[in-house]
Parts: sequence; structure tokens; C-alpha cells
Amino acid sequence: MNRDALLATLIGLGVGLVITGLLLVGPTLVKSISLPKFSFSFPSAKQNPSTSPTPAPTEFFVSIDSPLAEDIAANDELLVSGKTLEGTIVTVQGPKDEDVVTAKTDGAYAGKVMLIEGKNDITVTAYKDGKQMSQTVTVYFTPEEI
Amino acid sequence: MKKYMLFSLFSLFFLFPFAVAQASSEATPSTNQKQLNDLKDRLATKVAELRQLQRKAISGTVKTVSASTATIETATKDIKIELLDDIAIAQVIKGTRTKLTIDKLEKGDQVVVFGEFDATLDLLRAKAIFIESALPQRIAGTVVETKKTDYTITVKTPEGKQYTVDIETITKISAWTSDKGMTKAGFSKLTSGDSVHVIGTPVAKKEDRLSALRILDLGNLTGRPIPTEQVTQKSATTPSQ
Repeated sequence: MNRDALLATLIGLGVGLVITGLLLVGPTLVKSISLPKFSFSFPSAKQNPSTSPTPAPTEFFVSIDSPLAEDIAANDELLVSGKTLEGTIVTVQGPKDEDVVTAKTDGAYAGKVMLIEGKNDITVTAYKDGKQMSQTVTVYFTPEEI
Repeated sequence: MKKYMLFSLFSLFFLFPFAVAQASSEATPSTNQKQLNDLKDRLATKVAELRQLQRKAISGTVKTVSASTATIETATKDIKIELLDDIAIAQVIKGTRTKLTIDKLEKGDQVVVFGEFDATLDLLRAKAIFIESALPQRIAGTVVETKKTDYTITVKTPEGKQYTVDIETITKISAWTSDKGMTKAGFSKLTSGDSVHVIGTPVAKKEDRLSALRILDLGNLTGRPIPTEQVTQKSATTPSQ
């Protein structure tokens, strides 16, 4: 092989390698480049959520977070929990007994009731400032293996 | 000739590394992609299986019953249930939980059926059936009147309906206060204006009347004043000096 051929071969090899490398690594390099973001809007209090805390709800409400409706309870003691306003007196009524609790500062409440076999209608009633509100959830229980 | 040879060599060396690199890059992602697709398929199959068969309980009335199937009429629709051989049927009879056989299940029975619901066949494969007795009624409201002579109280619900509640010897009365919590209480503790929860059984042939099983007295939570009719009765019974 003469000098020209050898030179041509080496140049071809080099160019091929460069182009192949660009094709393989190029997309990754482009993705890794992060362009600086420019914002032309004026800064305001709304753009800084950390300085504006979420206001606590003031309208009277009561909700049941657990159990879910139509759930099958694992055992005959059921923990009923949910949310209402802070300091609200909450009664949790089951078919066999009831529990009375006071909602905590974050409005969370939890009470325990015993279940009977079959269908159980659990009623939660909240009392605050002369107002009363109720929610009911149905839960099922059986001691049999399902 | 030389030019053609040079061109051929150039092309070969240009394309060869590219071809090798392309082949190797396709080999790695194809194996990963295959594993990913396999995992997705297995997950989708499992989700479909779980959706198809899910633990469920339904409550309703027996509409039809045979040796192997039954139809339960619920509040929303009729549900067909498959009665398996090892199904457990129970009922509380005279205070005792009693196991029964399938032939004891009758049309009109109020039941709760537990089993696995097949969404594809729209069928509940029953594993346990509980035949329910009449459930007690629950009311919550404010005491508007107490009658010591009859041992009854009148409770008015937030909807405006009034119920007469009979206090029986078996009635359990509990009183709740914020400082003492729940304590046992007697009929004398019940006062007009108190917020109460009553669980009882309806009195036969008497509308809006309950025989109380349990009463929970929360005291005067609503802040409403004692009704004037009760005040009048109190002054009438006060002995004159």
C-alpha cells in the first residue's frame, strides 16, 4: 500500500470515528445542557408561597377519612378517624357502643367502636358553637375467613 | 483505479466504526426494553386479576334462592351470588350465633353476603352469609320534655321530627362531660335542652316511639334554652310555701 492510500485510510477512519461519536454521545450532551431561564415578570407576594400560609378552614364541617364506605373490617374493633374544626366535640356511634372525643388543633379526631357481625352503620356527629353535623359510613364485619 | 480503491477504502473505514457503534447501542437498550415490557405485562395481568376478583360485601334481601345460586336485591340493583359448597351461613338466634345450612336461606331474608366479586361475570362468589335480625333505630337530637311519671323523654331531631323514647329497666344511659368523660347515668340526669343520641327498637303499633336500648347524654351542647313548656311543668310541681 502506498503512502496516499495509507493516508486516505487514516483520514477516513478518523472522520468516521468522529461522526460516530457525535451520533452516539450528541443527544446526551444536548439534554445535559440547561439553558438559563429568564423571567420578565415583576416579583410579587403571590410568587413566594412560603410566606403566605394556607388559612385554616372556618366553615363548620365533619368528614370521615377512615374507614372507607362499604369496607370489610378486619376485626370487631374499628378505629374511625376524620377531620373537623379544632375543639369540636365528636361522637362516634356504632351498633354496640359509642365514643366521644374532642378534635385536636389540626381538626383531626379518632374514636373506637365495636362492630357486630353483618352490616354496621357508623355515625359521626360533630357539635360546635351550637351547631350540629353528622356523617354516616357503612362497614361490614364477619369472623369467618373470606 | 487508484482513485476508486482509495474511495472504497475511505468509505469502508468511515462506515465500519459507525456500523459497529450502532449495533452495540441497539443491543443494550433492546435487552432493557424487553425486560421492561415483560414487567409491564406481568403487572397488567396482576392488576386485571385483582380487578376481576375483589373482596366485597353486599347487604340486601333474598329475592330468589336455589341449591347453587341466589339473587340478592340491594338498594341499587339485584346481584347474583354463587353459593359455594363450603359456604358459611350464620344467624343470631335468641342471643346465640348459630351456624345454618344453605336450605335455611329463604326468600325475604335480610342478609349480608361476603365473598369475591367477579367483575367480568358480574357475580359474587359467596363465602359467608349472615342473616340479619331487625337492626335498632338510631336518633339524635335535643330533649324537649321529660316525664318522670311515665319514664319517657321527647327528643326533637334537627329535621324537626319528634320521638317519644321509653326508658326501660334494660336501658343503658351514659353521660359525657368534657372534664369527666363518659360516666354511667340515670334517668334523672336527662334534662330538657340536652343533646342526646338514642338507639332503640320501634314500639309496635306506635308511630315515632322507641324503646331505648342505649342513650348517650352530652349535656346542653347546642346552647338552646330550656323550652317554656318544661319550665311551666316545673313551676306547677314546686310546692307552695
